[in-house]
Amino acid sequence: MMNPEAYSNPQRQSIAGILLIFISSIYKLFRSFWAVGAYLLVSGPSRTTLIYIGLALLLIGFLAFIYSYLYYRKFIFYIDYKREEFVLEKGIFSTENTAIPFDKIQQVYFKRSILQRIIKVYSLVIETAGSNLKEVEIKAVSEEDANKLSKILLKAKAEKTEETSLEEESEKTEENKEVFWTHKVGFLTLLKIGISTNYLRGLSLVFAFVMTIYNRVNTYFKDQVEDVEVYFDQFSGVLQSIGFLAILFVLLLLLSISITIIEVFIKYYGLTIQQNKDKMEVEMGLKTNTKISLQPRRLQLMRIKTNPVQKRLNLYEAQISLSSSENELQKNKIKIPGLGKEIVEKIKYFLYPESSKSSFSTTFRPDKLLLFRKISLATLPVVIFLAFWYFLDFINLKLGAILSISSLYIIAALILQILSFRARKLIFTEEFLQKKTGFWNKTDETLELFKIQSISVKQPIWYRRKNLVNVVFHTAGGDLKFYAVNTGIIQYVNYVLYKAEVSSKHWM
Amino acid sequence: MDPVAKDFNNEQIDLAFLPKYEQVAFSSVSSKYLIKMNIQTGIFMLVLTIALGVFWFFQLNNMQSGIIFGFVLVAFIFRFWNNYKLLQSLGYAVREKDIIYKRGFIFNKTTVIPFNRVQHASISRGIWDKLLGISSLNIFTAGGGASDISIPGLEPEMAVQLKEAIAVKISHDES
Repeated sequence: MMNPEAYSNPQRQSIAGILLIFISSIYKLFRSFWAVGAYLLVSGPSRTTLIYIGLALLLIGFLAFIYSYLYYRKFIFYIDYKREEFVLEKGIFSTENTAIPFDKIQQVYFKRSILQRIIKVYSLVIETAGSNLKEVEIKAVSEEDANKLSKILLKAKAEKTEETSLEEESEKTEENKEVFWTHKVGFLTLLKIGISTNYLRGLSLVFAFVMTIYNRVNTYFKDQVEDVEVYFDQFSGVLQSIGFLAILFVLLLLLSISITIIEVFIKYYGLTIQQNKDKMEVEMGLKTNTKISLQPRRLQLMRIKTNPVQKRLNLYEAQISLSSSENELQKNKIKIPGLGKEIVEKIKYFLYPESSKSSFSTTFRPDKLLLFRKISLATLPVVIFLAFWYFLDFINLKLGAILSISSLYIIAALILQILSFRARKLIFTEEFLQKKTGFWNKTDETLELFKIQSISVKQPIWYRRKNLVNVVFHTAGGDLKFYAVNTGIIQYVNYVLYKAEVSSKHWM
Repeated sequence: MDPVAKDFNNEQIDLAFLPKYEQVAFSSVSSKYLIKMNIQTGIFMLVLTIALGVFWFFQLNNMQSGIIFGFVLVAFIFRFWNNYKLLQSLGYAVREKDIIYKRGFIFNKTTVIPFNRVQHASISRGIWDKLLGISSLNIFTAGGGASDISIPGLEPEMAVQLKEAIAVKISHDES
């Protein structure tokens, strides 16, 4: 039987770990300096240089060995049974002390590289929730230790989370297989998505086309040819080249559209959504068939996207962020395009059953300062362009043309920025937070208040007098940011915190 | 649907009476952290000045290097001043259910992490920390790097105390 208090004393890695650290640090050094070494060898060094290089290498090897030994000595781990934590300390110059409570352990597993296979050790990886940066890896553990440790940790984890897992099991037995509704995205819809999503690429092509023609005609007229004969000759030449350009343009446009359509088909072919009592299943993909089951509990953030063209075609795209759960392979963000309005409503109702009722609803809009900043950013390209035109003369354009182009651009940018500024708002209700942005590409983000991980309130010094702040709501599925909003929002920040702190519901 | 819990009640909340995070009293960090920041800035400045000196020796005339040195000097005076202001602006506060950390003078940022969202906490000490006898407390959530905090310049005992207090809170709050 296993000693119940095993590993409660500070442990070191397997002694072979020194070798592992040594080889990997040498390898790292080699990777960053091999170019220098190659250069030295190629440059035909003299005998004495070679000796010096050899000595330096020896010294480096020796230092690396000392480093490996010290690193090994300072790398300590143990299990603190009293506090129910796994503790790891490491680092020679700077020490890092990490403690993982048993119930935060998501998974414990081994891995082995070739080197580890040769020296007969294992990597023991302890994963916690959240990003994989927070996982702990012990790189050299003997097989026996690895087995024992993972057993103890998994057992401790199971004991700590027994209650919740029991709950889940009972949920599972109750699970109703009855399908409530199914939604299939057909061939035609996929075609529509393909055509309507990447019109921007098409637009930029049109723009490039117009610009090249303009340049051609311009250079032609600039060359003011006297001879009438040559004039006509050249003119037809210009016409011809414009014809070629037009054909090329149409071909490119067709190509770009068909590429998008093919992409859409590969990604979303056979898209099916099926809802039963407590989960929703999404299946899609031609080459790699992805199947995802959505539970409302795992949901962190939902985005609904559309633009006027797609709205007319009744196409909405849902983007759903899930918490990175025990399965690392599972994608965190799922895009489901080609949904009709009624389907979006159904999904929303399933994921957020209580979203309709709320005793209050407060809307915040950003301050004009944000508009000012966005406009100045948008006009920056014009300034750069004008500077180029003025100081360098590789852009052959007349003053009039320059002025009309830049003023057109500025007016367009102004209108665009004002419209999207007006569309920007943040709505607080009793249980939800909703952010709406975009006047053309409309995005609608919804976050259930208690699902936040933390909140940051930022105030640059020039916001202070205007009483403005930037607020960022951090979730396990990405951040929700809202800039340049009046400090009145802080009351609601407190409310969101209250909601998270008072809730005993699982956020994942 | 979830079954309705036994003693479930749902009173209306008056937003004005919620606890206000912006009105808590913040504890400041050790002034040794200022020394650490100044040492780091100083080293950086020294390196830049030496590099400039080398350039001056080989490439530049006195005027050019004088102007560049002036810029470097102004930038570093600003950095030192900013370090000082940064130390003053650093503060943390522990409430019953969350921890609050604020930092930054020019870009002020306050982050609030509820204890029931903390994944784990750790203490880290760099080489300067060890020499000066201070520690950093890192608190991680599942919300990625932007949502985590690292409080520098704590007295080592304080850091350990805070970490243990958080560990207790985490396990206590756990469903």
